[in-house]
Amino acid sequence: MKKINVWKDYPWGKPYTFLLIMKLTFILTLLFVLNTSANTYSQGAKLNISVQQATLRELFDQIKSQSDYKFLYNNDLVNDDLKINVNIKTSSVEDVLTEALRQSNLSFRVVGKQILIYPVAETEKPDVQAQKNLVRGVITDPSGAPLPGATVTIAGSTRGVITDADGNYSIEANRGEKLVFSFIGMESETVEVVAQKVINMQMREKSQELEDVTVVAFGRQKKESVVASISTVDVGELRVPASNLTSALAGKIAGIISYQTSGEPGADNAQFFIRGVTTFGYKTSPLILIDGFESTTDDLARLQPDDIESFSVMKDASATVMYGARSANGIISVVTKAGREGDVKISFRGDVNIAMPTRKIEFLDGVSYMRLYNEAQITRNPTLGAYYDEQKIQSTMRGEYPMIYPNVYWYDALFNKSTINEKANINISGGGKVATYYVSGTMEHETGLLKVDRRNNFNNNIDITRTNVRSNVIFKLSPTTTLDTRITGRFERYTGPYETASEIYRQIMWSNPVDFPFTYEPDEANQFAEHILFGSTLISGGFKVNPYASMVRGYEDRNETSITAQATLSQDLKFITEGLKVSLKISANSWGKYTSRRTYSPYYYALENYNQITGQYTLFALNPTTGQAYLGDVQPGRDASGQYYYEGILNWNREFGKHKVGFTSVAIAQENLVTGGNSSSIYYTLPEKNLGISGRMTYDYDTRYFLDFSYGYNGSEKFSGSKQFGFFPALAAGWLVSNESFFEPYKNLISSLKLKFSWGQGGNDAISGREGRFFFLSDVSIPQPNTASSYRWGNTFQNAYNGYVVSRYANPNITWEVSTKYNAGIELNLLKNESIRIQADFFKDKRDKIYMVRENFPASAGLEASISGNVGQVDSHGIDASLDIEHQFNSDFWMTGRANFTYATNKYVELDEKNYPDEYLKRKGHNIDQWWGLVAERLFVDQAEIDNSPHQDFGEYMAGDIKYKDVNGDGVVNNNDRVPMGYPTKPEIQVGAGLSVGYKKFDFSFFFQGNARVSMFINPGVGGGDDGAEGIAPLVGNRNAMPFIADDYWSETNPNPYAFWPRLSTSTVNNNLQQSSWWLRDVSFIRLKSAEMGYNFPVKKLKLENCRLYVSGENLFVLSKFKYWDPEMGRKGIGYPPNRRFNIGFKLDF
Amino acid sequence: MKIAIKREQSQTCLGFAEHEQFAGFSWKNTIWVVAVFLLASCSDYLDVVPDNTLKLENIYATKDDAYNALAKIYSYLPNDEATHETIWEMGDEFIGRIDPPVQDNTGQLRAERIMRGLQTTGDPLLGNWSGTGGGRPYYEAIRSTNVFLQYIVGTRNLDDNERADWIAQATFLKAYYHFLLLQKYGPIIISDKVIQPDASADELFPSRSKVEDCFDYIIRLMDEAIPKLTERAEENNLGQIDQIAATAIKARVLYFRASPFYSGNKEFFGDFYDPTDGGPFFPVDDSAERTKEKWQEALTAINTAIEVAERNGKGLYRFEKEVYVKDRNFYALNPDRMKTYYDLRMLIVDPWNEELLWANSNVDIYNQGELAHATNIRLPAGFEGDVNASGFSWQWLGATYQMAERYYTENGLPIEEDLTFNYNTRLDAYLTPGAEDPDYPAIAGLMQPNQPTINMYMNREMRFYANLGITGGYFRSHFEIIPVYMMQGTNGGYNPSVNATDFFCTGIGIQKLVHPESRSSNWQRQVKFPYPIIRMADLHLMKAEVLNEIKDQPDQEVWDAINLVRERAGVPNVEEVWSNAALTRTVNKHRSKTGMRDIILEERSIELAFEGIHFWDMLRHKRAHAEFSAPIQGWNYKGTAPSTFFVLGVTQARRFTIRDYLWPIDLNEMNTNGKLTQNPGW
Repeated sequence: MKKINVWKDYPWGKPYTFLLIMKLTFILTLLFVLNTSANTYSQGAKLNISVQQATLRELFDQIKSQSDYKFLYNNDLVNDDLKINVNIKTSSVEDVLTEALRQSNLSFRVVGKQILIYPVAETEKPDVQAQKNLVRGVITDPSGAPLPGATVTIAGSTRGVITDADGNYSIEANRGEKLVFSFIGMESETVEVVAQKVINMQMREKSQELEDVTVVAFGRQKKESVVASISTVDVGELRVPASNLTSALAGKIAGIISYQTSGEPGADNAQFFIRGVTTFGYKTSPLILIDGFESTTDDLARLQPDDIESFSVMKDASATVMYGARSANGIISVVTKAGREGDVKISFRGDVNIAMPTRKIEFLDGVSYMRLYNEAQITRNPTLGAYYDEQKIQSTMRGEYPMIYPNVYWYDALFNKSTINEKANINISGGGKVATYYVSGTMEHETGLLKVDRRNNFNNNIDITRTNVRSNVIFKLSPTTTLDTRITGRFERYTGPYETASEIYRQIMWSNPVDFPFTYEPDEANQFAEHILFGSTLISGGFKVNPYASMVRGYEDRNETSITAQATLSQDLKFITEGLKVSLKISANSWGKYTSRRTYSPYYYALENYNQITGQYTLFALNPTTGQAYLGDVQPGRDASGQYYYEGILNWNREFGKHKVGFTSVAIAQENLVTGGNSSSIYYTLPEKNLGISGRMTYDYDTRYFLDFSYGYNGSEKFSGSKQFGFFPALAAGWLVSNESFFEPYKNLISSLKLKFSWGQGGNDAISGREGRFFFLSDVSIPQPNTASSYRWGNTFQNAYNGYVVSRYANPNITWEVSTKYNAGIELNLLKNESIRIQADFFKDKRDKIYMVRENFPASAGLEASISGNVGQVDSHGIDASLDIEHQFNSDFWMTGRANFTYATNKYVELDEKNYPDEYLKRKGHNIDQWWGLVAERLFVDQAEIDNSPHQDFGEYMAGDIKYKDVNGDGVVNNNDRVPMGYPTKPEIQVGAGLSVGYKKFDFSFFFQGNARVSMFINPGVGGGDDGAEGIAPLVGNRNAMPFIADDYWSETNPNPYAFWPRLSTSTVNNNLQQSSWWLRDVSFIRLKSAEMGYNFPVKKLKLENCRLYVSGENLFVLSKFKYWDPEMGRKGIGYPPNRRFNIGFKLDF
Repeated sequence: MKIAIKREQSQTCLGFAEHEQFAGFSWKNTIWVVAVFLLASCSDYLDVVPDNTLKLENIYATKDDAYNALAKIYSYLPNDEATHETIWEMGDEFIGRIDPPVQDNTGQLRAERIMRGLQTTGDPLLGNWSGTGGGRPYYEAIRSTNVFLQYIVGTRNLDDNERADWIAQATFLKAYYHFLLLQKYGPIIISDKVIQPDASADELFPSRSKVEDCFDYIIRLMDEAIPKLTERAEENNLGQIDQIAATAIKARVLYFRASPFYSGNKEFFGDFYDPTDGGPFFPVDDSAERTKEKWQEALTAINTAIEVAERNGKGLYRFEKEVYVKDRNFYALNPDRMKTYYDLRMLIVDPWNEELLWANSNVDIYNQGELAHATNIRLPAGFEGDVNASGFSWQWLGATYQMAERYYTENGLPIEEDLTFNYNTRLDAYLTPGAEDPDYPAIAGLMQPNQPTINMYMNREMRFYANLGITGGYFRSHFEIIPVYMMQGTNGGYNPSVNATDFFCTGIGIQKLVHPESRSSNWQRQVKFPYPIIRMADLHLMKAEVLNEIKDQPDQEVWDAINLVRERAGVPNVEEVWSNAALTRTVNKHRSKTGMRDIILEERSIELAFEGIHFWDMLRHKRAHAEFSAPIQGWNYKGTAPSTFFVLGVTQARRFTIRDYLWPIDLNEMNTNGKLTQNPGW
């Protein structure tokens, strides 16, 4: 026998190592260290092989470097003289080898992670000699150790043998007969006897599925047998220049609707919903699971795509029901990478990006501002006259003496044009028979656009340093036992301005260019002042805000730490019955955030005297006694949470001929603790808890018919009595049509076709915030003194009592919000090698028992707190679909494309709303994000028209103000004249489409993303509305004005009744602030979300295996009918805009 | 319920246990540890709320606890003292800041906004039906009294008398809140019982009751409460309802019921019908007999109230203390007038004086924002103290020019009636006598010597000088006698460089609500006083009005009632001046019923000025739309000299129409309760 190249690791190390690990297990378990339930790896990895005139060995090396495959071959067989050319992109190992070995006289077989190379001649040469062979060989376990007691049988017969203590067997077999190798816990292998005399077999463990697997609730399933609706995304697509994974979700995954309204570093999480928003209740966001453990949006946002093994979105009830209590809004489940047996692999990535706003908001220059202000003042009240005198205007126009005649471009004074961010991450993986590991670390440095005043010695710009470390180590305690430990730490240091950056953006709106410069040059009296002389002026009894002072007056420090540890102990119980497994998991997370805000109190100055000829001026201090030049005491903030999770899973999968059955039973307990920095309610800090058992039964007949039943039975601390636990079942069925025999003829065209259907229910206990969640209890409190409920008597007014406040009336009937989901899906793969893949799901979601405040409750009942009930119902439906295309034009040129489409809409079916006299006022039947507004006809032409029109009940108005339609014809325009208008304020349609092309070592990709069927009402007022969106009203309270208003407004000289802005005013005109069609805008858009160009260097030096250099861009341009600001910001246009980034990066693999 | 929880939980635990058994074969030890841990915490795992959280029963457990409940039911009483929530600014007496940030703010000077015609149905200002626009939610108040009556019977250590008293207080408050609603809304929903959240639609959505039924209900509750109340609340209980307060308020209720707006008002409410039975909401068809009966009932109640009050030592206030040191010189020069001046100047601000029958004792001693702050002047430069501290004195709620005209002459006659007072030259400049002038002693302490002012500010009754702050006069505050000029850059005037928005926009201040001893620089040094809800002078003047309505012709009994008040104010008796052809233009006006009615209402408007009475008087007599639609006038506050300052101009336009007599029910409530009928005009 020729020498065989096999790996020679010990089965599981030396005995004492094993004992050590046993101890470690206990320690780790007791320390609540966590793990994930499964320890397989996806072998679906696609290879990119490109070799020219290479030997087979070189090819094998390249395959090994990109995967975990090992090659087994006789050295003599592989002829180094043979040079081959292979150029294949994103293909399976089979495809690569088929292509490569076609040029040789060799063939191959993939067995587990081993690839057996053998000569074609031997197998295919017709052998006319002896019909009977004595076949012998050694059966080894996955680690290469001999496997005693394994059986070898001849398929279709009763003949069989068992291996001896060294794993040897010999059996008589006819040519053409098939040998079946089997062992408990191992996948059965079948080998056809051709001409071999020796057939060695390395078995692989059953759990190590090699087929495409999909992460499902509490486990994994073969992709083909999954009948639930689960989308997965190629993790590479989530890699964007931004340091926020959530910003990459929009358009990338069918079924997710996502948008990002702010680009402020550290506060730029995108909103995302699975299948849109399906409830008007408290919690609309999906459950996020990272390695099976509930995590926060921040945890998700900071995940490194390089660390992610799979990213899947569970959409229908069948996919989510086992998470009963938290499943109603869908689940995002992320599994991080684990190590694989083999040599140490190191991968390093570095990125640098330059970030700038997608759109810069323009403001008026000083001269235009003053003219506009004067007009606004005079047009409403001519007796007031001009506010800014002509001399000031003229001097400003000449640009003289900027201290006296300032003309401040606040935006430019406050913000840099761009900023640079850096990111680097490294991961190391590998492992032996004892353990495998994946360890990674990431450093990110992100900065904001704010300018820093050199006169301060602290940094008031946003400056974030993030460090993420991850250590996933899987110990193999015995052939049937693994301990999976995962420890992740997320550490963030933030410094930033005293006010948030978004707030400073808003403050620009509150300032104006001409009232004062942002800082004064010291005059003679102040030349030795040790503080900055900020400009301001007295207005309405206070100082006018100086955004520059707000920005540089101090800074905020934050230190945020999140540490998650998980341990999962998995035991294969095949010695009880085949296919039985149990695993136990403990997860814990500790999160803490400490903030300290330090500020000085700026000294504000105003001009006291000035000489307009010489430019000499003297200043006077506005707050000489209350200013403070040094940083004051720290204003600390402190928040912390602890989260504990326990899970036990019992799993049994067995195949009986064509019948495959699976049974999973899970028990979980979860606890969330929060310590709020400023919590006042005792209810806030009480833990949130869930208990649950859930299960799944799967049945698969002949890989053609699939049936799943699953359920969740969950309890929550938020309910009491019989309402405390909820039972949520789900049923799903699938038909893999393409596996039917009648389908054979179409297989060339349609390689795979699956139809699936599911029905099920999910619960949601997060129907209120932490403070208000104990619905079964009343909330009565005795408030602080001198509040509305207190009263005092007595001759000295000292006989004071605080009274009491009822914040909630007890309602023991409050219970789970229940979602009933229907899903019908189709999975279609066209063309032979699945080069076109289509997945489409049609869904319907009936959200019932939505907890809501009863609106139709009269004030005359005298209740102090609102009454709530599980009375709402929302029906949603929609489609999500994805299309993948792969095409190889030739060996140098390939292309892949992906498109996603999500449409989700909903309507109120049941809700407790007011007994409106008019149907159009009722929300029932409308989308939950539908907004109501008055019908604006145009601007009033003159007073006569006002006198002859229905009275508008929103305060004073005059010609040039908005005229509304009296919809119900009652002679008065009031809130009862509001009608539903526009599209919902969250997009109903989200699309994404991208293409990647590769040519030789170059590749190029781009991705478009768009939102459609979405509307927005501009906030025409001042200050933030309920949603914190700053209004755009110009001039009010001497605030700024934007050119697009100055360009198009009603004026007495140009009384255009359809001008964008009504008659100017220096104060708010309540009549014009009403939500109306006047302010309604369509904010659908399509944007070039990302583009990337890369080049792969085939380096072979310094152990470097691959080097990739790439440039990429993000948010490159946007097309939309809405022009005033980035349409994705919605109403929050005056805020930190999303960033456009240009990135350069490299990746090294060792 | 508790048992059910246990059962559910034990099932879950069982689920765990079974599971653990399966798992226990090879990992016995590990599993055992985990299983024990889980089982131990399982039984009460989901029960996270500690037992001793506060429940409503706890509030009523003992007397000490129940004081909070008592405070609660009082806490809904109107904040008459709060500048932006008070209803006292209705009418034409006060005028606040006129700069846009205040004028455009729907949360400020709300009563004034209503007078400007800016009331809305979307969010009614000072709306008490649902608690909108700064109004307290009176139905919530009524519910709290109902809850109180339900729970207080179980409070452990109340003795029978206390319990009866508290029950009576709650009952009375319940009636009073209904009355406050009735005043503003006319027909209201009577809320006699606690309405449970799961009540039927019929209970939740009642329709409005007829005005007369509401009055009957209110009076019945008051009659029920009065005998059980403490006769006179003392010391620490001052401000609680006693028989003195309750009889006086009951008198006011009956007085309102008889008044023309609420009774027989076919003019306004002839077509305001209850859709449930087609009957009128207001008693529009009441006969003269019936109306007289109502006045008679009111008279009986007033007499009882006066009797109860006097029996308990109440009466018209006189200042009996030592005059302030700084006033001694003036007092020596001008003793009679200064004595009267002090009686009137201290009338409201001397805390808990004998004139008060019931007052709002919920004076926030730690905060600002009350009328006393808004009307006080800033301490001018040249005096000791933090002169520019705006926190203490806002100096931005002034009196209208109308008020400067309204006070009588020193003869107790309206300025247009007094033949000794040249009405036509009233705005002409006048230089006050110098300190050496023989005419000076008569004005000592009232007007500064040798100061430019105008004729109208001279020869007026004492209430004029005691209540207002005028050019050439004094403003007694900050423990100082501040000579005020009210012009730009002068004491009490507009100052563009110091708190530029804080000034009296008419150039006329109000000192009636400012205690002279209030110190500058810190609001905590403000001398606090209870804001009167009803006081003795009101009862006497009510009595005069009611008698005049009952009698076919006014007689001495009517005049005597009004003279009590005039005497204290230092003006001659009504019959004396009005019959004097040498003094008055309209001789014997006091002998006709309508003439006397006007005289009484004038007297009320002066005596009870700035106390939230005049608006209701005009409303009761259906004169509000005529009276209050005139624009508010004032001097040119930017004037720096008498010639530029004393230029009368329109300070604020007003629009008060018939629909404003009744408050609108907010749109939300109308949309909620389909059985409600909106008030006319809304």
